[in-house]
Amino acid sequence: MSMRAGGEYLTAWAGGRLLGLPIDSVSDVLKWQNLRAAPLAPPAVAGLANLRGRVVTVIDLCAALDLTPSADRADATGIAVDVDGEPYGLLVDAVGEVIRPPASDFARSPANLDADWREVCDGFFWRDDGLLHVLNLPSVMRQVVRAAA
Amino acid sequence: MDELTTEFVAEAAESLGALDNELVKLEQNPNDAQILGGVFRLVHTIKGTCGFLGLDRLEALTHAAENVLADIRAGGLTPTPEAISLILQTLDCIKIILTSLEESGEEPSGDDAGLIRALSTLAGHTPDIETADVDAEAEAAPRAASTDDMIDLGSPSIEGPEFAVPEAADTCAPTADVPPAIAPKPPAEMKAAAQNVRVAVQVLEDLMNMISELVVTRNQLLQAQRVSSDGAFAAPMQRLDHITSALYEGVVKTRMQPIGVAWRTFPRVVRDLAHDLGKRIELQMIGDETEIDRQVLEMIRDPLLHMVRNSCDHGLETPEQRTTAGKGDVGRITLHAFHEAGQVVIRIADDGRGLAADRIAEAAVAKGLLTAAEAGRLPSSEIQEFIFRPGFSTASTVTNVSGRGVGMDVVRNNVESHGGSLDVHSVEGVGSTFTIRFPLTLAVVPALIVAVDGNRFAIPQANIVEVARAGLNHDRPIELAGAAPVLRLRDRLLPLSHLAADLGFDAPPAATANSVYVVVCEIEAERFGVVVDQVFDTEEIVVKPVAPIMREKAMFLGNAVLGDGDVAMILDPNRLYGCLTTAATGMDLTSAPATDATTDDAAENAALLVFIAGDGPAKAAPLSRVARLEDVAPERIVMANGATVLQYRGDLLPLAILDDADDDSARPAIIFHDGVRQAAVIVNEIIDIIDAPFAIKLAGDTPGSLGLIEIDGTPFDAFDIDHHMLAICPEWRPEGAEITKRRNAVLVVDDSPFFRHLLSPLLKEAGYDVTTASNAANALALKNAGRNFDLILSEIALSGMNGFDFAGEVKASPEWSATPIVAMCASVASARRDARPDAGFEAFAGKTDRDSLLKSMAEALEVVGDAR
Repeated sequence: MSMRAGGEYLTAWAGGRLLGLPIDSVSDVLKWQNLRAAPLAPPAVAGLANLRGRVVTVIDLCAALDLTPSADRADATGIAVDVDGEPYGLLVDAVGEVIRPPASDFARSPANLDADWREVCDGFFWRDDGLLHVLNLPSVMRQVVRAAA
Repeated sequence: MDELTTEFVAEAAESLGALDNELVKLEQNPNDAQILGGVFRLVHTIKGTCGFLGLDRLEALTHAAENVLADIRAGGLTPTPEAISLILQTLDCIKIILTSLEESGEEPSGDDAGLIRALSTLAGHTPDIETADVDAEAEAAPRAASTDDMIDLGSPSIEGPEFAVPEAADTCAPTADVPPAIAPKPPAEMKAAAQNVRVAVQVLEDLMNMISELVVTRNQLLQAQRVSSDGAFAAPMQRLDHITSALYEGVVKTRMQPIGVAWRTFPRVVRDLAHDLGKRIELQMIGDETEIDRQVLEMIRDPLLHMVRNSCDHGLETPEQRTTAGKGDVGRITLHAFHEAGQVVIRIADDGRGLAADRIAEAAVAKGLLTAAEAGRLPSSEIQEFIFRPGFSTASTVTNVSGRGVGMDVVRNNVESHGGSLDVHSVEGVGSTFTIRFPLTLAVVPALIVAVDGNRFAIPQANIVEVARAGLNHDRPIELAGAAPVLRLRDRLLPLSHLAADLGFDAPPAATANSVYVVVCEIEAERFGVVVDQVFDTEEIVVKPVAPIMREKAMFLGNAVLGDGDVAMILDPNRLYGCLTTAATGMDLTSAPATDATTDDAAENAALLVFIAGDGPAKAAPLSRVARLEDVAPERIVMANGATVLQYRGDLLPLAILDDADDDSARPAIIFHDGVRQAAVIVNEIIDIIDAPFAIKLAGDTPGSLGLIEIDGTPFDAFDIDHHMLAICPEWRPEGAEITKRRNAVLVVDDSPFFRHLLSPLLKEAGYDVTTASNAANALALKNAGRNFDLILSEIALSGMNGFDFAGEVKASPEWSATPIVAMCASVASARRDARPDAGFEAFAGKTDRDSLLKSMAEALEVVGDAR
């Protein structure tokens, strides 16, 4: 995985973690309205929503990353993302800002990082408000499916 | 001008544009066989289509030009500049005719005799022939060919010398498709191209997506407007409404094309094949104006062609064979397309030799797909299905037409992967009919919106037969056959899919429902009902794909945005039916001593299964002891350890074969249960399920029969289930008095009203009489009141006296000491750990796992029963 130096990220909070989503994959920040149940879906799937005529599958990032949500799910904020050409929705505790962290602040995954995190996380940036976990969204989706199996 | 002619003009215009360039190249490289072949094919194609469309003047011209080209190709003529000029001149003339054809829809009148004569002279090397003769030939021959060509493909007139040269040419592709080798160049002067714009399919797809969003937005606006009092928007909203609808219809129309587009090349193909194969074939095409989604059209073009070729090659016989068989010497292939029930149906029928079941069976046996015994037992219709197996071809000789083993399996896969179906019906000696069915369009599907547990889902209308109300409030209760929910609907026993359970919602058993809807669906002539809570109306929905992470569970065809902007998933009826047949819908059969048809009074009506097995009168058995009825394919009956067993849901069931048939294919089987075990019998025929008292009138001493019972004056043999089952399954628990069996009384002790409420109907359905107590003290009060129970089901974490102490009290009491107690707990493991050895629980069960709960209860009862 190439180091994303100079890349822009949308920051978000989920389960007390500071997450970074590559800005290229983010299409919208919104509140999910009328989430509909998706039976037989992997547990991390929060439901389906209509995003301007497209049906997006909404993933609860806290559930996907096995984190305890710190906000009431009713207050959860949504992020619309595009993963490998498919529209998905994410549910996070809060959305931060768009940042462009300097490459010098980048750190690769430490040796003691467990396998699940190692897979979904491309690396870290030191930030004043915490350690920014750079998410690899296709890997997150794979993990969601694997958790269901 | 009809559709076909328009297409032809546009196509010919492109071809001619290319042809000019090609001819010029040919003049420069007279020996380039590739260019020559391309030019020849182009002229050949135009000629063929002209003949088909009845454009005589054009056909005569192209025919003459083709002869010249054929001569050049055969080496009899060098492409001298003069010859090329003459052909170019002919092309100019063709263009003039085409332009006129485009404007007026008809061929202009005119005389091309001079040009044709010049071409014929060039081709025939007969400059000294009498003018009159040449005229006659030029006039007569092409006309004869043009009319006969397509109408009677096998007529001898096309064996004329004019055709001999081109037909023998081996570089002429038998498909006669529009040659793809030559890149079409936009013709400069033809207007046809300007009127038809080629648009990338993706553009149409994007349009379709956007318009569906617009429709949804419109619907939302309409809804908002209905509740608002502002009248200023009424008029513009109405206009927006109409325009959106019109726009939507327009865009949907861009996706539709007449099916004739897919098969317009078929007459040539058949004609050429008939020649190659020495057969006489008449191709009839009906319904080529039938509109079909472009996506479907693209997809079926090749499969259709493949099947038509198959019909020519394998299906139809040679004229000699046909005469011998007493048929006319001209074989007939009929393509028929029509709309039916929201589907496009395409039939490819031939009156040929039909599928020879014995040859297919032979090949299947040779390939190890069948044993000889099975082959003898299967009916020919099932044997014929083997042609859809991979790598299956019965063609004894591989021709260049077909028989290469890339066959019907690919065709069927192709069709099915696009949501269609392919069936064959064939009678040996009479002919075969292949039927393809497709949804009208893949993009917009009419669907019924239903609700389960407050969630809305869509079921494609194409699969729905009817909707019925059911439940205790509607005098049409959902019943249990074994543990499988069924509905009696007009003399049919309809298997039910309990949608809420299939989708993993926490739902009460279907049989306890007071008022539900049953959506009756049909999958390949199999009917079943889907139990839902609510039914809304039908909507045209746009199918959107399911996200990749959800594709593991293929219960859904896709997602849809409904008219009100809400999202719903589209159920796949095929999968629902699959769930129905592969898994017990309600609960595990083996753990449920289901006795719903049981009554305390034997004279009361019970549902009886009436069937024929071997000789003697028809037999009757109480339906309550039947777990399931199945048609069993012979390969599922196997010998294991010297006993005959039935492969059943990954299990092996002891099997008794009571029928006397040996030629049948799928034989009906009745699977009986004794509350714990299952065993099966194969019978001749299952006749009916009737309501009648199972009262034995005449006790007999014939083993296997309990005696005779009379139903409406007809005597039936009371089938002794236990006798037959014990013979094949020594562990079978006989319950001769099954139908009058007392229900086991169970006391449920739980302080959660929720769980008491949840468990009661479940246990009642499973055949228990249920009494509840909210704590240990209340339960013990019942003991003191002299009540007796067969089983106590108790929560461990009871408030007040806990479960362990309660169990101790029960076991210490003289009244209830023998009553088994099953402990319910959230975590079985920790409960076991905490339990004192003398606690007195017979079993521990997770209270949220109803299957294991029921199983533990049944086992606890059994243990006690055995001890007694």
